[in-house]
Amino acid sequence: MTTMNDFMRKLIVSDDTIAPKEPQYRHIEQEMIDRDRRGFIDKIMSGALGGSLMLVVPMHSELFGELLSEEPTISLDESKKKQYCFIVDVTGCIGCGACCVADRKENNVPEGQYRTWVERYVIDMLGEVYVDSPNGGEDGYSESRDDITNEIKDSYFVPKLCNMCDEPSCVQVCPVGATFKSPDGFVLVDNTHCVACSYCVQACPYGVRFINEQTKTADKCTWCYHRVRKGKEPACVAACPTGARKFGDLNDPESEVAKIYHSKALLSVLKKEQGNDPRLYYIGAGQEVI
Amino acid sequence: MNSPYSFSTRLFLLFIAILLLIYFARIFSLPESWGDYGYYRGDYIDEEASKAMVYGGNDTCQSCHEEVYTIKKEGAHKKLSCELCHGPVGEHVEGKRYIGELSVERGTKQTKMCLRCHQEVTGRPETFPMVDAKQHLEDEKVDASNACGSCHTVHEPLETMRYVKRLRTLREGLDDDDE
Repeated sequence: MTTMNDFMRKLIVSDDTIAPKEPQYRHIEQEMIDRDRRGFIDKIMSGALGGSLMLVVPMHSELFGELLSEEPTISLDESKKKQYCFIVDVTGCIGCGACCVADRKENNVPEGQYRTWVERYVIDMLGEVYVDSPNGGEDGYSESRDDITNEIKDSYFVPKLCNMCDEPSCVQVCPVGATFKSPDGFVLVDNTHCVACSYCVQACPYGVRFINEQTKTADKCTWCYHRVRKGKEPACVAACPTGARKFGDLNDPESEVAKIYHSKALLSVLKKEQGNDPRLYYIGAGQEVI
Repeated sequence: MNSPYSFSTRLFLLFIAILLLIYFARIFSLPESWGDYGYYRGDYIDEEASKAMVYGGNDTCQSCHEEVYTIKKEGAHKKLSCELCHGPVGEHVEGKRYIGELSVERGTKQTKMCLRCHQEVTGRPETFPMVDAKQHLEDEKVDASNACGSCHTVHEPLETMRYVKRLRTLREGLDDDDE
């Protein structure tokens, strides 16, 4: 019996100090289980703690954390010192609609509504002007204007977006102070205050405003204000394959827009006689657009 | 109605009461940051600025896909945004986590993507490289079922063209020698 006991002791418990001198199987087994339970719980706890820490501690890599972060990197005071300007080069636009696609995804615009769109102007030899914009030009222009029988004199694409007026009529008519011009010159819509009365939609001479079907409030192009305050250019500018859309700070002499603005290039604004003083300029836009 | 106050005093007190009511109603109902910069809620500016971005830019793509970036940066498509064809990086990674595959179009889908810019239509500037897809395939004497990607590598569309041109010149040279 004693040899059997010794054998069992050696078999089950290798550590003599822990094992009782007069072992009883039941007792030893219990000890084993207890010890293991403790270890098991220890492991579980450390694992769980580690696991939960992984969820709590932000695991953003530096690059993505920086590039796609939600915190604005340019403060409002810094932004105020800049003079943002948007220039559209009509001669460079190829009507691919990449800007419209980018805009829809960046700003979550519902289908069938447009913050930006591209129009096609065709002028024939008799001076007749034909304008079309199938689905806002979002699918890219793939059809030629074969329906025009006269010889075509000139044709070009005109991207349209918010003119970011210095004297915005949409702000003047808002009865609840939901739309406003920010100190850095952006016309924005506070959709928590908007009552969707549509006055601004009617007041805008450029037709860039609409009542968003999802939020049921007024919506418009913001020149991607959330991107600008993070030091990025608007989504449509980044997406433009030919660089027809240009955005930058006029106070920075090195920026492309400042160079164009102070060059001999003929810049025009839309509907100047309305007195809204837009900050969106066009290069090469024909008389029929203006 | 035997009030100890005269009619005008009562009217005046009523007027004061209404003014006070308006004053307190204004304090309670207007948001905290109202009027910080003008007749609107000042906090909204930072709320708008804190919206999440969806498009990252080519630097973001480069950080992981260096090899494709190197091919692209030398080619005719060097100025293009990666996300123009592939879609926004915001649908691909979130923080460091992979959340979805971006489209890598091939065949007819890819052709459609190419022709978005390169289809010959009214309105495009004449200096821009445009083709009529059908005509182009006929001109180059290749089968009409071919997609753009069959000959052109999309990240550097003229790379294979250069080889073809070199081969053609070589063959012409050989032909001349034969004569």
